[in-house]
Amino acid sequence: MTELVLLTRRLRRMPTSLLVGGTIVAVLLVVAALAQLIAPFPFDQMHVRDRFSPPSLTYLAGTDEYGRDVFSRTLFGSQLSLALGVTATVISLTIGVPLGLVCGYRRGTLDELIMRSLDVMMSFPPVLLVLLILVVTPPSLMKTAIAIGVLFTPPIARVTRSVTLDLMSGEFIEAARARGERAWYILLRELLPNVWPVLMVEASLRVVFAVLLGAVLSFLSFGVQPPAADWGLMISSGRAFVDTAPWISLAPGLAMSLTVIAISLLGDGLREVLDPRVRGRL
Amino acid sequence: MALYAFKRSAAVLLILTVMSVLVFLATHALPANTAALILGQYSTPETQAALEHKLGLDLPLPVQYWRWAAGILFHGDLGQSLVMERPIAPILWDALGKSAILSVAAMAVVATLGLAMGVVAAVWRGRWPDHVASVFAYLGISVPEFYWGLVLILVFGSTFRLLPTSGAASLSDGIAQFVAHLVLPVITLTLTLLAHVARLTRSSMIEVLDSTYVKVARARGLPERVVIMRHALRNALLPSITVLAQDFGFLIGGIVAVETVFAYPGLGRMLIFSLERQDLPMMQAAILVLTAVYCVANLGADLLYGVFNPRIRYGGAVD
Repeated sequence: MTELVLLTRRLRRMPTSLLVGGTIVAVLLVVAALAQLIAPFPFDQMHVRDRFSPPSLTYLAGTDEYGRDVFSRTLFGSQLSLALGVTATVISLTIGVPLGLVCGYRRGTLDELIMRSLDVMMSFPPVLLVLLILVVTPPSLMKTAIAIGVLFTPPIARVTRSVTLDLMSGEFIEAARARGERAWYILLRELLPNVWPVLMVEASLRVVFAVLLGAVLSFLSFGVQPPAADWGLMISSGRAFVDTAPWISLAPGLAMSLTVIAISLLGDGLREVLDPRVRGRL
Repeated sequence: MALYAFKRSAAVLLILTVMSVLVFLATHALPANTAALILGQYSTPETQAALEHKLGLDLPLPVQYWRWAAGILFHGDLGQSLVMERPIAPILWDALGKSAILSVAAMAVVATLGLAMGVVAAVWRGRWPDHVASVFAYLGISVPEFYWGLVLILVFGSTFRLLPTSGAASLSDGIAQFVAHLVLPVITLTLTLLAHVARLTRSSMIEVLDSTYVKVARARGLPERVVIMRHALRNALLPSITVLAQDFGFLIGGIVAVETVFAYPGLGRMLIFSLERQDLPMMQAAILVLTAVYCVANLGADLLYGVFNPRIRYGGAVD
């Protein structure tokens, strides 16, 4: 009983944005994981007699031009969008974090060299860079994720570096050095755990951007290819029927905005709790 | 300042050079065979080889790059479109002009509305105007720009038939037509960009409103309107201006999708068209020009920042 009271007290002290965002994101993750079980129909099952039927009890969000259930497809779409967002972010973290840590730790010429080349990368128009990568090779979900992940590496590296620079003046680093710890120990055991909170916030932002950018790419037909149940693709293909069957585009769009708002809220909440630069200021 | 401007411009030139090499290499890595594309399905390997020789496609890549780059630099020659079989330069400048009209209109709306929203949210901080503004900002960035475009088409085009939903009109079609075609694309672009400016203006305005000199101005008994407009806003504007310039670069990404949704014949639409048809020279030209605009916009943002930031103006370092 007392534990329950403690738990509710702790929950109450959390920012609302974290609670609301976290809850919705958790639900979304469950839905994405269980899409095969929850969805009333397979994402590619066609009901030729029920093409363009408006939302009803059978087809909760109507059907599209092939008679596919839009609701089921939207559920399945959450798998693709979340997978894309998370994979792209993980890729950018895997490349960006080590780069930022090493730059912040070593400084000097290496730092200068890496940071300047990242500057050059960041000065290209983002959409063009990804389009260029995707056009050269046949499109696939993984390739889109890699392209976006590479695109998001410079900002991740920058954040990591600036936090590392701040940390480097800390006494615990001095102490570790005095103990004679090796460089990799300081990087992984002293610096990384302290960079992590800020990175969590940045990463949540990146997931949002990746989901949105992925949608734009598949909308422009350079991302995920049909007949996949991808939100951007569904919105794009529903465009031709927006006059007569708007639900084809509206349902995946609503799902996407819910996802994006939830992850942004979660990120804002995380920032309030974790980011020492904001904590106490708000 | 002069040194700073020089350094930044040199960096832009370097980036453009790198990008041109990248674009050139990337388009040459494409599976499309230019000669086969031009000659059509009845071509033989011999005729393809002959055409490749005639076009200089069998030369080593560095030579080809030099010919292409020199043509652009010295003759303003962007090559010939494979699909349209016409010189690219005139089509491209026309498309660029159309895109420029769209982006300038969008930026003007974003600037006025974003600043106004930011100021209102800061002055009525924590009360309903602030909440309305932040909900609006959240909504704007929660879906990709093309989705807003679609919703707008649905509401204003299909349901109420108030506004044209595709294409562009030139000034000769009459000013009403011209503006009508711009309304929906501009609203779409505005929705996605507004949040950034409004939020930043709000936070810098709040900072300024809490400062001593604003308190002094209030203590002198100046009317609130004068305090806000004359004292606070003027100083809160600086960061917003640089963000607006940065957003202009951002806009270029957004414009590709928005022009596709509204079938607006601008540079973004042209890029997608050339990518879909694998029209290499047109693709190269469109990407290069878009990159150049993006770099120049960012350069403008940097220089503006320098102008407003004394530490840079007097030759200090940026960090």
